[in-house]
Amino acid sequence: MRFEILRRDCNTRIGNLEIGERKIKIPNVLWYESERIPSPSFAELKLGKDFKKGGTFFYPEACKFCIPPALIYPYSFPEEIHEKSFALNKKFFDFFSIVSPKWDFKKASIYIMANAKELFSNPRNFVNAVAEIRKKIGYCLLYAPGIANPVNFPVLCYCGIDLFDSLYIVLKTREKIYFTSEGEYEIDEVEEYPCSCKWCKKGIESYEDLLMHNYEAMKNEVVKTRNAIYKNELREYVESRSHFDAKFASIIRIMDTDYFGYQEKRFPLVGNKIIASPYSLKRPDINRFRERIRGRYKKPECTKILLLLPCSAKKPYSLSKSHKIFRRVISNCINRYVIHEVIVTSPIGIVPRELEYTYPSAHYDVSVTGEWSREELEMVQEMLDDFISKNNYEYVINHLPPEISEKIDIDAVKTCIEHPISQKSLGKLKDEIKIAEEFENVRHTVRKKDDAKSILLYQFGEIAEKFMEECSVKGKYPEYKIYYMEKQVASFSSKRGLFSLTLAGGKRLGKNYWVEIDDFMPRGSIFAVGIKNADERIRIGDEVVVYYGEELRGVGISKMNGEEMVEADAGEAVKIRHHI
Amino acid sequence: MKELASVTKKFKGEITKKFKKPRIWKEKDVLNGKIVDAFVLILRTRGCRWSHKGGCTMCGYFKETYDVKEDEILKQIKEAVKIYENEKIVKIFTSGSFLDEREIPSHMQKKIIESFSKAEKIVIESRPEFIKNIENIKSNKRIEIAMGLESANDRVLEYSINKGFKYAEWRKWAEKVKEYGKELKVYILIKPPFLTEKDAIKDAIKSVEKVKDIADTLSFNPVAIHSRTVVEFLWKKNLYRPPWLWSVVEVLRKSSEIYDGMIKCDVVAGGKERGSHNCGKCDKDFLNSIKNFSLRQNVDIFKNLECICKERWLDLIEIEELFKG
Repeated sequence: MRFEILRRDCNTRIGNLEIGERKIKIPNVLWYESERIPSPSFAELKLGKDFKKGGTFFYPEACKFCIPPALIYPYSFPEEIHEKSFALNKKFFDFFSIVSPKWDFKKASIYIMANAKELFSNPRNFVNAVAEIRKKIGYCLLYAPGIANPVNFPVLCYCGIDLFDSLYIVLKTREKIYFTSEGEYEIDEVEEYPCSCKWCKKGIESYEDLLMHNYEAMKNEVVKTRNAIYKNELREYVESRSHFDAKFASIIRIMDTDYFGYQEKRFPLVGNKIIASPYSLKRPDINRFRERIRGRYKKPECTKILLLLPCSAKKPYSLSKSHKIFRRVISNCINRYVIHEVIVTSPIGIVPRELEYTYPSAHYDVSVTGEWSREELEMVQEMLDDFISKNNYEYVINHLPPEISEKIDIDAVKTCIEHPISQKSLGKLKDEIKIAEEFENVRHTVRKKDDAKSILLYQFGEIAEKFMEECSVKGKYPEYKIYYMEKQVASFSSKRGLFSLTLAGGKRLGKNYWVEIDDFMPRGSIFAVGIKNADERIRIGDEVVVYYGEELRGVGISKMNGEEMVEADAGEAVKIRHHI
Repeated sequence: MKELASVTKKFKGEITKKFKKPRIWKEKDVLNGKIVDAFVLILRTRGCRWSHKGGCTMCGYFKETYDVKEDEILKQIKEAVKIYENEKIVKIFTSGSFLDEREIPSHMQKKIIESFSKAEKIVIESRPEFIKNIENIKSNKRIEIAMGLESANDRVLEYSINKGFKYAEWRKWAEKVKEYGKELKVYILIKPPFLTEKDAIKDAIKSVEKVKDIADTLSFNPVAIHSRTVVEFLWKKNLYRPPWLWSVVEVLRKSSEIYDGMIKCDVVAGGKERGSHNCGKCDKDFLNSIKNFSLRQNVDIFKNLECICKERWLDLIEIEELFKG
């Protein structure tokens, strides 16, 4: 068996599972089949056939590729009893291994989650169990038996489960339940079939008809979820599902609040468009942006005046009508480069101008009604307090509209009257930024270098300071190119919102965001099997440097996080851009 | 298993020391192939010794006991004898072991049995470890000793029930009962916890296979949810369902194919959520058939049982083991 991951999104992925001659897409469903209970015609993996029943702990019928027998006590039983049962169970584990946060684990090809049904009845326990199990099994395949249906499928995938089965549907069908992606309905109470599968068209008359429709509903959901992963839209898809079961909302909230670490590691660094919802405030990728602003980022050193600006619907902000107007006002200011523009926005918080291309700054759509929720205000206030206290500005100008300006507490000169682009407001802004003339003159080249450094601080952390020593920056933002001794070391990719390195740049980065490979010449792609070790800070989409021992052999973009690179033995790990 | 014993102990909580009156009732039973009246006495004692150490996962009979003083036992007997109307069968149960001298002092055991001089048959219960006291009740009376085996599978005994003995030990003492010329009734549990519905049927039948050469009567006990037990905890968490009546009937049917002696089954809380039940529509028919079968031993009674809920039961039989907890 071989498992290769093709795409990653949120805490999950799409991959190919190769069993013998067959190639099966993951996430997928193990469809139960027996003489009494048919499986659908499209079933790729059959439970009861491909994977036979291995009996129970009390009456085992162990065989190869069987779902192994096991003694499993309730999750809430004391630890000792679980340890004891693991000792009794492990002899049955081979291809499959049953895993629980409550016991040690035995290596296998596919892991089965113990107590899944019991755990899923409590969102907190469930999320905790998945995260704890993932700590043990890393990025291997995880199967949660007996819980999946067309409604919860995307949520379960989101958490990090790869394989499911049709058992829940089989049992519910016998109770005459009709499934859609939105819910479970008693068949007799369905007025019109909201589905155009063969069986709904014909009219559902028998148990088999209903079963086949429910299978169709499940298959559609599997495909929809996989598509969402492909398009990096799983988070939105899962959020939209939260309306159908309060449990889903709890799962999203608990994961965002208590499992940021688990999620942040897995969420790609660069993503697709975010349609902002109340959940977005705590989205792991948005939260990561904020964490980096709080932790790694420093303002461009030469700037002394902080100018707070409202966001715009169009992204990046500087391409919007309002920002073009702001920039015109600023550009007329003598010593304009001493001014640092920072955009205040929800759900991100604050976006320094030089990071406006960087995910997720240029990638969110939010409904703008001028009303800020309490949570949004608290978040913005907290971000501003932190930002202003850490970055030593000498003057702060607040050009935010009253609806936000009146609700936050900062020590600043207000320039916005009624509307940010009203003549009055712009006039006041123009007057106030004249203060720039009182500061030592900042040259454009100096500012560009400092901007680049700030971006690099966000991207790589403190090494950016050393990286930029004796460097110069050419080009007009966002087309920045960094040079060291006349040699290009990095160029800004406005598409990724990050700097791409040249080999010379890779050298300057040193052992940061490093990947250590076996002794070969990287060309094209590096696969996980060739990786010996990697910086655990690496996220999917990061710029990385590739070393063999002390020798730099290439630079490229990571396709998996550092942890997975070390652990996995299949799949593309780094896409090489330059090599020696 | 000591880990399981500590869990059973936890669910028991504080055991009350409050005085309780003995329970007495009359019922129908079979003697020499005829249906006769039976007198049942639940004697209050300090209860099952094994239960005090944790006990079995499904057993809530500890609630029937209290810190009884010696003289109170004889008082209970006197009271019972007053109500006794010469029923041919007398069952004296203690929510423990009649032969345990800590429950009933040795010198009283025989005395109690002889108090019911008109009885043709006396039935008592005991765990195997007290069979060694069988000499205490040396008597010409026809005595049946009922011993709970529950399951002849050692894994079930240890990891599901926490029964405290292995099959081989039980067997040794069961043979002793026969050597002493007593009749042997064997209790077999239907659906101990952590077993699937399919396991439950298999387990009961396998147990019958193992004891059919020695048992004079088989008595099946479909698990009912007793309060303050492991089984109740599981049931409340939706992790245990008492056996389907379909399973019970299946066990009775298959047992009668392989076993020639008396087969009995009293479905405690039958048809209720806490007892063996089906879908609700057919429960009454099933319970009547089972009651009928216990008295008449005729499996044809089960032939006409049909209900659409059979499919749900069959689904479970197939797939329950795949849920993994």
